[in-house]
Amino acid sequence: MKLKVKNLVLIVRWLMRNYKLVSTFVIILIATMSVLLNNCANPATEDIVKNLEYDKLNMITENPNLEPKLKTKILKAMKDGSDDTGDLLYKYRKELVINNATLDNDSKSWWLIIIMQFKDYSTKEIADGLYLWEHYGDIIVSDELLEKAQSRRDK
Amino acid sequence: MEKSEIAIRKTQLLEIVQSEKTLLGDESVAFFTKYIEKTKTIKSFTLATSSVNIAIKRAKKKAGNEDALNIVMNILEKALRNLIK
Repeated sequence: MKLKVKNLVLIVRWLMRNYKLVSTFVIILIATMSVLLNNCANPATEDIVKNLEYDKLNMITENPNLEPKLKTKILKAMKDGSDDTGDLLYKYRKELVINNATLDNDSKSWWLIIIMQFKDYSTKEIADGLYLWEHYGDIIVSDELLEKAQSRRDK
Repeated sequence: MEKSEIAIRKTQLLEIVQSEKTLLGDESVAFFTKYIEKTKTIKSFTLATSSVNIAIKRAKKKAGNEDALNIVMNILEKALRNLIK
């Protein structure tokens, strides 16, 4: 017990002697933590969902060919603003948007923009994606699309 | 009726995009202007408005993060100066 108290006194003395070093360390620790917390708390998806009213969400899931289970899953993800919403929408972009007969072409373009915003794409990437959608019918470049583009150029 | 409503919506949305030019940046403004000009249906204007709002909110958040980072960097600089003294 005596040894413990002695050690504690020694620690306090050392801290008092090196108060500059200790205070600097504490400040650096707080600053680092605040940066980390700020980056970890990423309400980007939540922000996007808040901007989309529920009836607009229905617009994308009005597709009669969409499985009810999948429809519920996507609607729930979008309403909750969960982090995998972008990945989920992106994964099913063909069923939800590209092959969705209930959407006109303008709406499809804007939905694809929103999906890419969910995926945190930059403006340039979104513009490239839309160019691909307009010319090749999808927002990503696949080997097949590249081959098609190549053969068109060669002709 | 629909045509005039589309024209009104288009003008309003273009004005919003232009007014947030500093926040969004030239590249985003050019992109949104191009696609808003192309948009022809009321249904899609609802989505376009959402998309522009999303872009504005995200740009504001990014600007806020940069401010927070600058404050933290200033604190760190002061702490290190204090240590060197």
